[in-house]
Amino acid sequence: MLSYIVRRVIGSLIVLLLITAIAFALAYLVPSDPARMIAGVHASAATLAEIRHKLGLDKPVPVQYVDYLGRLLRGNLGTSFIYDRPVVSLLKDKFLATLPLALAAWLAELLIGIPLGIYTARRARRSADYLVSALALVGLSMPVFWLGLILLYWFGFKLPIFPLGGHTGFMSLVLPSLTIGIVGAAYYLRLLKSSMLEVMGNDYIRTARAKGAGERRVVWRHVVPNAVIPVITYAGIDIGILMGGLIMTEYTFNWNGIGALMYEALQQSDIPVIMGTVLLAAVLVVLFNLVVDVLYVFLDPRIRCD
Amino acid sequence: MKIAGWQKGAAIVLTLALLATVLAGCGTSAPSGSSAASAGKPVTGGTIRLDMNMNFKDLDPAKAYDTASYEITEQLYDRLVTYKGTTSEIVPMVAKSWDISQDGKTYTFHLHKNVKFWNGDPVTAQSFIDEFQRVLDPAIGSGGEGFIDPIVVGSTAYNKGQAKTVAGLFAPDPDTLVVKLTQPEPFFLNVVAMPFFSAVDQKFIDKVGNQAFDTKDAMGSGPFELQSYSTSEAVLTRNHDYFMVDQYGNHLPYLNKVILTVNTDDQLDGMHFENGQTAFMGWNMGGDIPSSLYPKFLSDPTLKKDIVTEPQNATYYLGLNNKMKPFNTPLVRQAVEYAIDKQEILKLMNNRFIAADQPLPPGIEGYVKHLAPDATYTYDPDKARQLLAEAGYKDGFTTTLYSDNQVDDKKIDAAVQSMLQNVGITVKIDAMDWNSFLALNEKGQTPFFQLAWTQDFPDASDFLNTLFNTNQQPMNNATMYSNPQVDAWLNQAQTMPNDAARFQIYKQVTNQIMKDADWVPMYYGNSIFAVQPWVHGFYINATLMDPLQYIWIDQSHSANS
Repeated sequence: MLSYIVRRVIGSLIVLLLITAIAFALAYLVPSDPARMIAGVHASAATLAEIRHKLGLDKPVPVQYVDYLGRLLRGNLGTSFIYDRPVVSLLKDKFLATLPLALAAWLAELLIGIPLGIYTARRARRSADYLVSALALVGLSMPVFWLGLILLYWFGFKLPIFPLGGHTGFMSLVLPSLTIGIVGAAYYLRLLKSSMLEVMGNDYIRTARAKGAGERRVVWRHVVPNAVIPVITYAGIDIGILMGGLIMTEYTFNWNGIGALMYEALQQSDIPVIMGTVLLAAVLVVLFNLVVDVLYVFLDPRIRCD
Repeated sequence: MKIAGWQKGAAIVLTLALLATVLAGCGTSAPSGSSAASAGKPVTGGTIRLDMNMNFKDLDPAKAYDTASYEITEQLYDRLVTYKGTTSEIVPMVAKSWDISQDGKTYTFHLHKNVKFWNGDPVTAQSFIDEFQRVLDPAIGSGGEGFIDPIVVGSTAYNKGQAKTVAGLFAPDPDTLVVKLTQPEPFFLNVVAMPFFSAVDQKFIDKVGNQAFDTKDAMGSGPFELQSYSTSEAVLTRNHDYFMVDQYGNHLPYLNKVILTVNTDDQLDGMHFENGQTAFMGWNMGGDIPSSLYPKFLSDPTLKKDIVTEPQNATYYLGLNNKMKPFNTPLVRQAVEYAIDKQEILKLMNNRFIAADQPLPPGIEGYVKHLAPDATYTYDPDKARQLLAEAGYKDGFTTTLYSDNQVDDKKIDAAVQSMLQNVGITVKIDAMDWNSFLALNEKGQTPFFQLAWTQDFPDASDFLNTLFNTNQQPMNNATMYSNPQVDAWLNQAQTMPNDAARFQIYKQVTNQIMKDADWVPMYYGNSIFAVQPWVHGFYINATLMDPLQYIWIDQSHSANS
């Protein structure tokens, strides 16, 4: 097990290194001039040169990348061109804002999607299945910003039950997490339903039924545990993605988290912040992927570390 | 300054300068003729909330260069002079008076004695010298440097590290500031009215460091103190010892607290305003009610009453690169002038703006009311086709229109594409993010582009000299326009006194530029704000941010109530 984890960690580090290289290259392919953005159109050549020097932008791109990696190893992600603050400190502030939203949204997805997935699988090809599946398709098709706006309008503005955006406590979590929950639950529903239907067609399920096991026991003891593996895989990646930033949701609900930071950094060519947010998102996805892979071993005895 | 859709603010930014007031008593008094309804005598107290459509970036006035940062720094710091009410007339602020030498090269400012930073340190002439030096220091990276270098004697040497002080700045006594210029500059007072040149407490900056001064620790002398600050929220509280007073002798400001929260979602902005959470939508929104909300505000009788409009000194235009084919042919540029239907573009913009016929907006002295016939273009596609044929492009040609990728820009791109297709010109559209577009455009390598310019300060030179002088190529003069006669006129006007002769020169410049068809001016901006009926004292100055120090509210309304 330990050697498996070590191998996976090494593999993950290589993936992250590649991601930093790609992100760095892409950031520098954009023909913008951060020094000009900082100092404006009236700045002299000397001032621009000084800013470029201060930011290390006067060095060749490969040298800048190596410098970046060197700082990264020391836990230093650089300083934001725009905010003049350490990227680590910005990421920490924004991540702490995004974290509760991501967790609440993830829970909403699971709490809506999994029960409905089981329900529709048990009632496959019946009217309830068709109705719920159709609704899931609607949920899947709805843009987050549109659904969020509708919820805000009705439950924040017309019926002022919830706050109109911002993050001011538990109540402000409800509408954004419900928005993501409704849209994201559809994926879980469809995934679990198709996985359960596949498992329910297996011989061992038929055998269990033949031996007289009750439907409830069959579903909960034999079908769900075997069908849930792909759901866990998706849930693991999903939470990593959610924590890495919810650009549209944060925008719609004025949630100043990682997504909003990433969006603005892209607009402003704030390369250290772009790199920081990309790296954070990548680390989260890779980390949760690793956790899920390790969990497999415990959840499914058929899966072996080697 | 160049502006684009999302960044109207960030550009308008450069525009700004200070607080508006009228000299009275020991300090200055509130401007008359507020745009918003004023009801009775101002009442002190209360809290307002405002949405901001951009994150806060800088607290340091030497670095603040976007609308959001200006909105705060103008409340925290004082300048030498400012603008009166809604006008572009310069009035005293920390400088109670000033003298200008006969040769126009020496400015002597006489300062108020009772101005203090929040920590009790006095504001002196040295407080301004310190800030001038910070602006010139390349290590600070101030956007204000180009406004005083090389105009202030010794500024270039200081900027290059060849001198320890700026030779043209000195303080004979703590209450007198002398500034010596290398040449007369008729708009120098407009320059020092910009927030870059605010009074700062160098002792405090030395203690906390430049980075902290920019990101968390402010120390100003302005009407509001900084209570808390993050990139997404700032809380300002009343400076009880502020030196300025209103016409009743009450010390400004009136409000106890202002809470500024970043909210980039226009729809939420609208709902916050509509349910009374926010006091107004103005500069804090980047200069307008968001365009997506404007039709709703117009159609709702209640909201419509809250709208306040003032012309903005900004010109939105299509640039034609004089050095790139086929726009290097004047006939082709003139054909494009005739092919663009500006009324159609205004309709696309919900008729929020005013059709433009020249680079200078009507609010800037020097605007030409009646352009020469050969500098005037009306929508005439037949004439456009005829000119194209004369230029040897009977079958048209293909070009690329570059622009920012924001909603309004893309709408205009599509309209221009259709209008030019109508006369045989095929236009490919390349809309990209603002930074990339700006970087490309500033190299003078875009044949055809859509851009806007907002004043840094209300003077014709800020438009005409900055955008059309050959010495501004390619960064500001991205159309690569070059006319030796125009250059001579512009250089002459740069140092002339602000009188009729100077504006006559600008009239000649404008007519020549329009005759050369370097730009297709599309429209002039309007500042369209919305103000709650319970908010009083609000007004719009095209060069200043929201006048928070003059705002008072009905006692029954407060963000805390």
